[in-house]
Amino acid sequence: MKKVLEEINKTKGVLGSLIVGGDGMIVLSALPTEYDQDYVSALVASAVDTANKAISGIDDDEFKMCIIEGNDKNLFIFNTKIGFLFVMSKVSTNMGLIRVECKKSVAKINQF
Amino acid sequence: MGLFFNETITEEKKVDTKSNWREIENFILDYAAISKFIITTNEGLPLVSQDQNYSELIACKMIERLEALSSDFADDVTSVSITLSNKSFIISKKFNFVFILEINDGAEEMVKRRLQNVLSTYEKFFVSYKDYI
Repeated sequence: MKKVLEEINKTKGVLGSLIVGGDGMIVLSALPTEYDQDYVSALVASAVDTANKAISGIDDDEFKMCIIEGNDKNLFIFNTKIGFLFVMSKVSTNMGLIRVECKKSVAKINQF
Repeated sequence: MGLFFNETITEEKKVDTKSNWREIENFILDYAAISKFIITTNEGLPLVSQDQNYSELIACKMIERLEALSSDFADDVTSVSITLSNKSFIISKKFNFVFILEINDGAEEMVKRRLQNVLSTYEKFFVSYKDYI
């Protein structure tokens, strides 16, 4: 599974990736050391919770993916069978390509 | 036709403003993948919407969450897209407005481009909107 994250990290513009459990605990990390992994994984769980709350009452369908665009970074969060795949990228990057790569990775992760 | 919330503007300028919002609404709805949309101020005051109850409920909740994300990530979050099994939502902040779009599944990238198109086409109106109030 580590290879899956390493593959995503090779995509142009990607800064790092990790897999987080629904409880905010790290399953696997391929984030650069400059980032606090515990902090990032807690943020991911919090972001998913926030996204779910934002749409609660509108639709109770299953959460699949969330993309957060900031001034500094873009964040991609995908639902997988073992938790959430989180990918962080630079702002000026091909978001469509990263999304495609993430979807491929989700399929691989779901096979484990 | 959607609802327009512009009670504070002068009578003379009301026509221009309403006409612009109507054009924007038609421009957005012209794209079949967008099933619903709301435009609000940064403070959550709905400006254009298909349904008043829907807009007020959704807009306040979405803006609150957008701010929570900005705070959590210590970055100014400008856009969030949330994808479910059968539909997606895009919440985008630009020119002191919040655009909330409900999209049929699978068309997020196209809709984002559509929104960019709307923003650039009506940039002058969005930027100077405060002058109308």
